[in-house]
Amino acid sequence: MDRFVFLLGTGLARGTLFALFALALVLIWRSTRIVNFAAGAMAIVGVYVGVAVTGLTGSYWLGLLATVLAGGLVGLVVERGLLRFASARSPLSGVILAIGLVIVLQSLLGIAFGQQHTPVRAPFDDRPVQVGGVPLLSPYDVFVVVVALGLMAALRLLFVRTTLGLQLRAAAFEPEVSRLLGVRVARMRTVGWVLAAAAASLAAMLAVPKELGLNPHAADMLFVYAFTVAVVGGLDSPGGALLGGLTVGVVMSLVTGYLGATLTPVAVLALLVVVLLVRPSGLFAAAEARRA
Amino acid sequence: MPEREAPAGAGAMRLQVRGLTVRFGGLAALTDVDLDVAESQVVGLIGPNGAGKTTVFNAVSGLVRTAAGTITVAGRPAPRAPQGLARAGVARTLQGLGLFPGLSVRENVEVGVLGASDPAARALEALDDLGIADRAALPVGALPYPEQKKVALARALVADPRLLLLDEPAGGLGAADIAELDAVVRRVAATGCAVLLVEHHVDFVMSLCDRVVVLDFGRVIADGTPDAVRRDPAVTAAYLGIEVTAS
Repeated sequence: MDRFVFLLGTGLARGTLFALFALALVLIWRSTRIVNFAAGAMAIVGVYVGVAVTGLTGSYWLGLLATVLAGGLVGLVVERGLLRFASARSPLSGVILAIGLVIVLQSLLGIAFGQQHTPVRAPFDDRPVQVGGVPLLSPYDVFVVVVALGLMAALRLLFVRTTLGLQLRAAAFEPEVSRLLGVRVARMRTVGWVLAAAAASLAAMLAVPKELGLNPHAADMLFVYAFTVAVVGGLDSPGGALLGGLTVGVVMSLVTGYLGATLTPVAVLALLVVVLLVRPSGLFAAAEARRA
Repeated sequence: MPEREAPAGAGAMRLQVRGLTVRFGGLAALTDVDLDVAESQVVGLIGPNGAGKTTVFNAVSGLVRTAAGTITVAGRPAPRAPQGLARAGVARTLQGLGLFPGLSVRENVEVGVLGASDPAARALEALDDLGIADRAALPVGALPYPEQKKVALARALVADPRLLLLDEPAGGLGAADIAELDAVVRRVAATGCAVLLVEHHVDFVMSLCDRVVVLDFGRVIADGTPDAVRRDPAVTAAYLGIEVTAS
């Protein structure tokens, strides 16, 4: 039972990170109908900036802030400079541009910083705290959960409670009608990309201390799992990203703990296949159809 | 092209279209169309399917590129891009509902008045005017079709437009709802708003409109009072036919 509680806790903690990264994919998909395959590579650019700022200033918090800002800036540049020119008539054009961007970004990062894994220290202790003899989450896990859930809550407030959020949602649902009502749809798409890229960079920055370290491919697996989360939750559903993230995180943790780490990717793949077969729109997707 | 005089008894001109020509590739969707709508006037734009009625709306809205002609709204050139439409005091409904499926009823209307200081309160007022304020919190898709039409109308009215373009507002409505719509349009026009509506429901158009413009194959074939248009043999031949004679 102790083991189960521990695995459940770590699974939920990991799941919130997947959820945050998946939310970035959902935001882009809702507004542009592009699966942003470059999300991982873009996020790692922000992490390199954050780690550099931490190294220069000695402050993890400044580094974290720099990660978010740099991630947002990368989103702005990518949308304005590249993805805006993807043909709306061909869903493939955006995907192909994104894949090309992955190759370019990872090559440039490799040339600039090398392919070695550079360890990144967590700002808090990463060892599980024992409660009544049962190992639970580490202080760093709690920090990750609080930051990830806090950001998701803030994004929800932005979307539901503000005029900007209403414009973002309207532009995503019906771009042509939104234009007729005075919404600057192109600007809303840019804002969506900035928010999504900043959220993905933050998720990557939080994930890196728990992985082998920082290198140009450090967010590749995070992207794969987050993509699975987005499909499981429903690519159109921000709420589904959270529930899907927690589901995938717990499944991964339990499989790793009880069956071994080698079976984890297989379990995630199996979950993806089952969801695609049973409910292709995602387990938590909204019922209504939405036009691109 | 010589300037056409404003219709007798009309107030300030809200919409003036002169020599409007729109081509889609080699096809002339509109040819040399003239159209006037003055303040407080309700003008009906009718014609057979494919006559170019919605293309006129799209041209005024900046959704299609014009090949020739001018469009002025309240004396100024019409916005070239659709996002300038609201700022020019123009509101439009769409042939389909054009609602945002993932938003609530109130949010759908709120998008029509985002520049206001309290868009939510304005949206509730507009919904109240049409008698559906109690539906404000519901997802728009949960409403029956006639009420969804009211939401689309409330969204067009919420910003107090000076020119209202209604694309098939009576489509799919029953007699009671059409009577209610008739009263709303008259009320809006009485405030000084100019109304141009495209509609297939000929009786509704003839009873409501001050003037009726008939399009056929992208050209204006008649422009006058409902009675004059009813009697016009060109209209009878091209569009109205037996239905008018019988009514």
